[in-house]
Amino acid sequence: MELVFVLTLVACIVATGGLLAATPWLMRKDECFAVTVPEGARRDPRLVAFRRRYAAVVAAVTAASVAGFCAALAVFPGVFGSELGLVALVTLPTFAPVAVSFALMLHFRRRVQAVKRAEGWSAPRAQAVAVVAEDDLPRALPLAWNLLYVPVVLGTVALGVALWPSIPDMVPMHADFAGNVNRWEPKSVGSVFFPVLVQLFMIACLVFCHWSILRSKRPASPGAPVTSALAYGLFARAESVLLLVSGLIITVALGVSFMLSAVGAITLGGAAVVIVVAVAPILVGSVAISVVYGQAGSRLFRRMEDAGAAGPGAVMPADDDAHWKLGIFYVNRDDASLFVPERFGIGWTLNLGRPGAWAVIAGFVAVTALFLVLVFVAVG
Amino acid sequence: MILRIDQDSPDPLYVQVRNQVVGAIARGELLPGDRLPGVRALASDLGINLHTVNKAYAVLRDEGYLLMRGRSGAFVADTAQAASAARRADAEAHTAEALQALALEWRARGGDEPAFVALAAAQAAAVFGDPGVSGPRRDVGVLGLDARGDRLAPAECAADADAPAGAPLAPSDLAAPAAARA
Repeated sequence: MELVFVLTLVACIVATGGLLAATPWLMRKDECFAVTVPEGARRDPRLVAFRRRYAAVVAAVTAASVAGFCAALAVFPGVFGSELGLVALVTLPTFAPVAVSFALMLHFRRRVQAVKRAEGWSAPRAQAVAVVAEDDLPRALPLAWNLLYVPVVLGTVALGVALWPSIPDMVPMHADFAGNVNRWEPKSVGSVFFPVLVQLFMIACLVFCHWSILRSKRPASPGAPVTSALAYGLFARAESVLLLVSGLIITVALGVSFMLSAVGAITLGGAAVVIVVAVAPILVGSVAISVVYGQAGSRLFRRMEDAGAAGPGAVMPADDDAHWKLGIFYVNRDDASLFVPERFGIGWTLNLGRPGAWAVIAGFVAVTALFLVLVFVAVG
Repeated sequence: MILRIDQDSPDPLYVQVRNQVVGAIARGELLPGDRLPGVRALASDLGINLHTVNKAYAVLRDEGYLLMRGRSGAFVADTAQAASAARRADAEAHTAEALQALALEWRARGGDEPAFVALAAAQAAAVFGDPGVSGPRRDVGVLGLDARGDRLAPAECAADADAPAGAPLAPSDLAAPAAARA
């Protein structure tokens, strides 16, 4: 039991750190450490050296975090009994690679900007391109696919109703990491059906993420507009499929495992193991898409890159640096997009220059607070 | 079709969008009934303001190139059918005005009439001679046609042996072989 959780946590730290280290190679060709550069500049030996150094440091920090985590577990084996202790122990190794990656990105971003100034790389004109009326280009799945969640929720409710007579009077609610149940609640509609509440909250979040992919800006690079639009469309479709599949797997696993644990068919610890095992293919799929497709599909047409490196005075079609604060926060009032693809990372981010983005953030906080209140009321 | 905008060009953005859509319709890249993205989606993809795209679409609607269908987007109008006599007269007057302005400019720079007419003819030939994307680049040999739309000679065409070579294809000819095969 404990081994499963330790392995899962280690796998999460390794996957996160590994992806962070690999990020510079997964980004678009005309961006390096969140700085717009000309095509072919990625072959500049200085930029290549920056990427290698960044990857080496992040990989080292990840390895150190894993080693530290395992060493701490060996030194404090009793920590599994205390949830607070384990959370405290997990926090540092999980966030260390992320914090180091962000700091290093900012450092190398300054270095790349210095190279850009020294080489005189500039964008004399601010061009933009959109591919229009090409309906055969792939795009993210339509929202209607999320109706697949309806049978999942109804099935969970039906399972609860069918198992209701067999559920004992005290329902196990919480177990520590060793698998020992330490909290029971009397059997009631709230305590048996709270997994449905969790499912509904997750579905709301996932459907919103799907909607944000559909509403996002679809970038196209002026040098190869249809190719980049095609690559982005394939990436968006793959990510939306992953989102849907992950959501279905997790909601089914959640609902079924908690209902079975309430009736006693499996232990609460067993339910947790089922969920952990269900999450494994999602982790693999997410890493696979990131590595195969790259951010915004940038790895799909590698062969089409220019052969030579960018010389001094090379020209870029547009320069977005002014709008990306700290490299990762996009602020542009004149841009109608609410969601844009991330600049240093896989996925999408908000355009904080639009008031709608702040409404989204406030909405998330409100919905999360509401969910927590409802769960506490239901479980008692 | 690829829409390009240049924020630093002297032309306003909505004029750039409008000109490119008109050019695409002329070249056959946009056919009647093609759906252009909604205002918000196009503004988002180009990274510009909603109002800019709104203006461009409004201008195109006024000129009769686009039809709006609520929130699902803008559709390219069939100018042959949608253009009323008043609109066609308007378009002709607009073109006459533009030509007059160009002729005045040409004359002001010391040019003469034959040179201007030759220049105009060359530009017109370039535009109207361009077969567009639906031209000979598309291989229609499988239909038994050559590049100009004429029926292929029987030796070149494996399918139809009894059709007269070199004759332009009439709609009835298209129906007959299909019926014969059915």
